[in-house]
Amino acid sequence: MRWIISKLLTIPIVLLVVILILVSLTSSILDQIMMKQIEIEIRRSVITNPQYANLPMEQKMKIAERMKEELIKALGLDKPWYVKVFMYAYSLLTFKPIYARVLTTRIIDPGSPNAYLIVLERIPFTVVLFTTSAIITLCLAIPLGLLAARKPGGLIDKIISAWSIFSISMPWWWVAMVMIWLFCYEWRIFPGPEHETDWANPISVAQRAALPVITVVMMSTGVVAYRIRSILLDILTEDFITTARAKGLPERMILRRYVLRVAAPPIVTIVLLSIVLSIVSGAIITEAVFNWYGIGLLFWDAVVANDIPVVLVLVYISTLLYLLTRFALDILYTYLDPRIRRA
Amino acid sequence: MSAAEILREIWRCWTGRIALILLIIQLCLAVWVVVSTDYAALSRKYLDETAWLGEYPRAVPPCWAVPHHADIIQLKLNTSTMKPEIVEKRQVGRYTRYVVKWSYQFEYKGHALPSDTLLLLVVKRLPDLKAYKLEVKLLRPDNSTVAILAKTPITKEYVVVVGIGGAKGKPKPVALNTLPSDDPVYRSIVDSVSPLIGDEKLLTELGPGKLLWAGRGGKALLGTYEISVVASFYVKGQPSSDTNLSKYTSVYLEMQTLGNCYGLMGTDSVGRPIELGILIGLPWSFVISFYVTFLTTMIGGFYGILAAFASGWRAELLMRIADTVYSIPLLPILIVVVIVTRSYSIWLILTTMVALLWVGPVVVVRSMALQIKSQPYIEAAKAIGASNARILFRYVLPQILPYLVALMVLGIPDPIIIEAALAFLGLSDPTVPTWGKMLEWAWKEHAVLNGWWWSFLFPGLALTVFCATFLMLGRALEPIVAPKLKSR
Amino acid sequence: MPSTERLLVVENLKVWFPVRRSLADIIRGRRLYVRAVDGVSFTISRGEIFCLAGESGCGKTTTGKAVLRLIDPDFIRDGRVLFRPSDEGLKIVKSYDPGAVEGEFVNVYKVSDKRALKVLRKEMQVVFQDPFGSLNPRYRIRQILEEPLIIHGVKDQGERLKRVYEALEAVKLVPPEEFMNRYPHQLSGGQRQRVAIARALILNPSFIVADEPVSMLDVSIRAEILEILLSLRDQYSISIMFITHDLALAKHICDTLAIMYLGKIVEIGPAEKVIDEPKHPYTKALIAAIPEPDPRNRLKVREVPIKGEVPSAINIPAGCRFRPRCVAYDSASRDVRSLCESREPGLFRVGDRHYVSCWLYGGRSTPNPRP
Repeated sequence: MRWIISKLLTIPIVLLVVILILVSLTSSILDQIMMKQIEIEIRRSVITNPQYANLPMEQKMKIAERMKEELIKALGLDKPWYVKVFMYAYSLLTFKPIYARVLTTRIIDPGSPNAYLIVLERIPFTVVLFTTSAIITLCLAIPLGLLAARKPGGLIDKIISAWSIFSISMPWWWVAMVMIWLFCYEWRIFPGPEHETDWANPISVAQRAALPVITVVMMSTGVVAYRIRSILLDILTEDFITTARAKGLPERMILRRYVLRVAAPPIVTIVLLSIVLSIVSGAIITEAVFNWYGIGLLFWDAVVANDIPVVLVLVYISTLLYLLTRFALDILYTYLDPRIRRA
Repeated sequence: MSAAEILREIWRCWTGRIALILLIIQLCLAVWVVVSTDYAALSRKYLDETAWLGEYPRAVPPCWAVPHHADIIQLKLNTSTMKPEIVEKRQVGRYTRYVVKWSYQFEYKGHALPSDTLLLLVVKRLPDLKAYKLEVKLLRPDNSTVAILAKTPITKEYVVVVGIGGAKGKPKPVALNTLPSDDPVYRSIVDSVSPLIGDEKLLTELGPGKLLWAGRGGKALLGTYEISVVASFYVKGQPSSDTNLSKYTSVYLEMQTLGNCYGLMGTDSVGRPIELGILIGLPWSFVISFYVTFLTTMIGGFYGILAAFASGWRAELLMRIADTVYSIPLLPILIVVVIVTRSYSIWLILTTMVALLWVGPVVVVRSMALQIKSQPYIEAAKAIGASNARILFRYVLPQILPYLVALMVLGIPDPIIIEAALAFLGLSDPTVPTWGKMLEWAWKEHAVLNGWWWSFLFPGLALTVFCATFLMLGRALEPIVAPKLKSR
Repeated sequence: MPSTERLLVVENLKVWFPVRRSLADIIRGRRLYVRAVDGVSFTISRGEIFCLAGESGCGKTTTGKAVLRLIDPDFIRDGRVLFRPSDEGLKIVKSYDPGAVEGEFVNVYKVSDKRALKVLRKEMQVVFQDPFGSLNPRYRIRQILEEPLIIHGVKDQGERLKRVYEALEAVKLVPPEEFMNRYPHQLSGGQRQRVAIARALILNPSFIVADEPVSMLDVSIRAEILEILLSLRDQYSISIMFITHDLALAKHICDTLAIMYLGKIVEIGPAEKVIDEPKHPYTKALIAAIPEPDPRNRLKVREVPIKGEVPSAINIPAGCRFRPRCVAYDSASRDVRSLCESREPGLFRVGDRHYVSCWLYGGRSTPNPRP
C-alpha cells in the first residue's frame, strides 16, 4: 500500500520534471510561435478587416501596434523567461490546445492542426502493433525459456543465449530495413512501406502490420526467453525446489507446478515492461522505417518537419503513457506476487 | 582475483573466447586507422558527398557478390603522341580542309556491364583554325557505332568538352550517368544505342555510362572496340606534306570504366567504399560507448553506494531522485535537446545520455552495497575504528568494482545504438562519421528500395558485431565477478 | 581475578529501533518501535568476565553492540554507557572532547570527536559470532591483523609485523608465518575465530565483547577458543563481556551472570548463585531446560516451567513483561498479581550482589535499580 502511493506520487513528479526540461528548452521557440500567431491574428483583425478599410495605412499600423502590445501583455509574453517556463508548463499540464506548425490530422477531424489530436489518432496504431507483438512474443518465449532452463548449457540454451545477444546488439530499425529489403523487394511477400494504406480500414492495416509484427517478435523473443530462463534457473536453485525433487516429483511437474507459478509475476512484468520501454525508445525509428502510422512515425515526421509543438506534445503524452503503464504493471506485479502484497 | 586470472576464466568459455578475439581485432583496427592514416582529413572527406565523384563506382555491390566482373578499361589518349590518320586533305578556296582521325583499339573482356563510365575530353586548338568541329565515336564489336560526341563546333582555344572544372586547375573526368538527361553527350549516346536496345525503360535505367558497352537486351558486348576522335578544320594556305598536325590541335581523352563491384563491401550511392566507412566509424564507436558507459557506471555506482550508506530520509530522497530520472524516457528527450539547441555536437549528445543513463546501475549497486554493508566484517571494521571513507574504499568498493566493470561492459551497446538512432533521424554531429550516419545515408538514398543491400547491411552488421562483442564479454564476465551466479 | 575497579557502567540503557510505518500509522500519527533493549543497567569491573544470557531475540547482542557504540546514536532512546579508558586514553579524550568525560569515565555516546572515538575503538574490542563473515574475504590474515594497527597509526612496518606475530602466537596460531599469508577461506572455523580474537587483541584493549564466539563452531574446538579467551583475562586482565545463550557454558567461565528477557535484565548475580539458586521464574525455566548430562536421566520427561511464546518486542506487555508466560504468576497471591499486572518490577536484592526483577521478591527488600 505504502509503496503504491509512493509510486503514484512519482508520476506527477516525473511528469513535472520532464515538462520543465522540455519547456525550458523550447521556451524561446514557443515564444516565436506565439508571436507568429499574434501577427496572424492582427493581420486578420486589423489589416484585412473591412471595418478599417478606409483608414490610412499609417493609422492601421498604429492600431496594429497597439493591439500587438495588448496581446503580448494578455498572453504574458513580456514576462521574464522563468515565469514563462511555468506558464507554458502549466498550459501543457492542463492540456491547453496547442497547434502544429505543419502537420495535420488524417483520421480524426482530418486537417486539424490540433497537436493533441494529431498525437491521439496515432496512439491506437502503436498500441495495436506492440500489444500484438507482445502476446505472440510471450507465447513463444515461455516454452522456449522452459526448454532452455530444463537443460542449462544445452543446445536450446545456447541458441537462446546467442539469439538474445544478437537481438540486443542490433538496432531494431536496422533489422526492419533488412526485413523490408528481403520480404518486400527481394521476395515480394509483403507490401512495402511505400504501399498506400487506408489507415481507417482494419484489413489493409492488418496486411501492413504483418512484417512489423514479425520483426518485433523476432527481436524480442530471444531476449525475453533468455530472461525467463534466468528467472527460472534462479528459482530452480531454491530450497523448496530441492525439496520437491527430493520428494521424487518428475522434473516436468516441478517446472510447471512449482517454478512457473513463482516465476509468473516477474516474467509478465518483464515482458510487458520491456515492450513499453521499447515503445518510447527504439520503436520510434522502427515505425518510421516501416512507415507505420503510429507515434514513432509521428516523431520522425515532426522532427523532419521541425514541428516543435507536435514534438512537445508527443514527448509529453508518451511520457505520460509510459508512466501510467509502468504504474499499472507495478500494481499487476503486486497482485500476481503474494510475497510483495504481504510486505 | 587478478586480471590475468579473470582473463583466463573468460577464455575458458567459448563466448568469452570469441568475444576476446573480436575485441582484439576491433581494437587493433581502430588503432591502426587512427595511427596509420590522416584520420581527421579522411573522415572529413568521408563526410563530404561531393569529394568522391569518379573515384570509385557508385552504388556497386561487393565483388564477391557479383558473378561476372566488368572490365576496367582505362584509356588516356593524347593525340599529340598518336599517329593521326588523315581522312581528308583538300583545298577549299584559300583554305585547306583537314579531317583527321586518331583511333585506338582495345578489348573489352568483362562479362558484365561496368557501373558507369568516366570521360574527360579536352581540346586545344590554334586560334586561326576555322570551322573546327570535333566528333568522338566508339566502334563496337557488333559493328555498331556509338557517337559519344556528335559533331560539335569548338570555338575556343582550350575547351573542356566533357569533364568537370578546367578554367582553373586540372579538369576531372565526369561520370556519364551523372550527366543530366538533356546533356548533348547523354543524348548522343542514348540516341545512337536506342535502335539496338529498343526498350525505353532499359535505356534510362542503364544510362549512357553503361549503354556504351551494352548490346541487345542490355548485355555486355565483348570484343574489340575502337574509339576514334575525328577533328575537322580549315587551315589557311595550301595543303602541305607536313604530317605534324599536333601543332594545329590536340585532343586529350580520358576514359575509364567503373567496375560493377567494389572491394569487400561495395560502395554507396555517391561512391564511398562501405568498408572505409566502417573502418572510419570504428574509433568513434569506441569513443562514444566508452565515454558514456564509463561515466554512467562510475556515477551510478558511486550514487548506489551512497544511497546504501545514507540513512533515513536521505536514502529515501536519493532513491526517489534515481527513480524519477529512471522514469524519464531517453530518446524523446535527446531528440528535443538536439532539435532545440540546434547544436549537433556529439559531446552534447553524449553528455545528455550520461545525464539520463547514470541511473542504470544504481539499484543493483545499492542492493549489493547493502548486502556487503550488513556483513559482519564491516561491523568488525567499524569496531576497530575504521572511518566511513576507509570502509567505503577499502572494503565495499573492492567488492563492487569488478561487478561495475561487468555492468560497464554489458552497457556498451546502449549508447552506440542510441547514437545510431539519433543519426538515423538526422540529428547527429555532422563532423563525426558513425555507422548510424551510414545507415541514414542508405535510407535517404532509398538503398532498401533500390536493393543496394550492401550499403545498409554492412554498417548494421558492424554495429551488431561491435555490440555483441561486449555483450558476450559481459556474459562471460558476469559469473566470475558475481560468484553467486556461477552455480547457474 | 576481577578487581573492584569499575571499567564499564551501563545505566538504564534503551535501544529502540523505529518500525517502518504503514500508511494507517502515518495517518494516526503513531510511531512504533522495536524495543530491543529496554532499560538495562549493569557494571563490569576490570578483569571480570560478565555473561549476558538469554533466548535469541532478547536483545543481548544489541546490548553488546550498544556498549561498543556500534549502534547509531539516533537509536539510543535513553540511558548512558560509561567506559573507563586508560589514563593516556582519558587524556586524549579530555583534550579533544572534554564534554564526554565524566570523572574517570567517558560517556560513550557523548563522544563526537573522531580522535576521541578512536581511543574508545582502541580500548574496547569485539569478537563476533560468525567466524565466516567477520573477516574480509579479500584480505590476507596479515592484512586483516595489520588493519587495526594502520588505523591507529602504527606506521612502522616492522613494528606492525612484530605485533601481528605476537597476536597470532597469543591465539596459538603457530607458527605465525604459516598463517599470515593465507586468506580466511583457507582456514577452518576455529582458526578463523582465533584470527578474530587476535584482531581484537592486537590493539591491547582493556575490554572485549565476545558475542557468542563459540556458538557457530564445532563442539570439539569450542573448549580451545574458550581457553584462549580466559587466558586473555589472566594474562592481560582484560574484561570480557560474554554473550551467550548457553547457561551451562556461562556457569563455567563467568564471574557475573545476567539473564535477559525481552530487552531487560531479569536476574543478575554471581554466576554460581544464579545457576544454583535461581530466583526469577524465567531463570528457573532456563535452567530447567539445560540438557541433563547424566545418561540415566535422558528419558525422564522434564517439566520446563514456562508457557506460551515470546511476545513481539514491538508490543511489550504492560506491567511485568514476563507475566503472560509466568507460571509463578498463576500461583501467586492476589496482591502480587495486581502488582504484576500494573507495574514493572525493579531489581530487588535477594543476596550478595544478587538481584532479581520480580514482584515475588519485591516485599522483602527495597528496589535497587542500580546494582
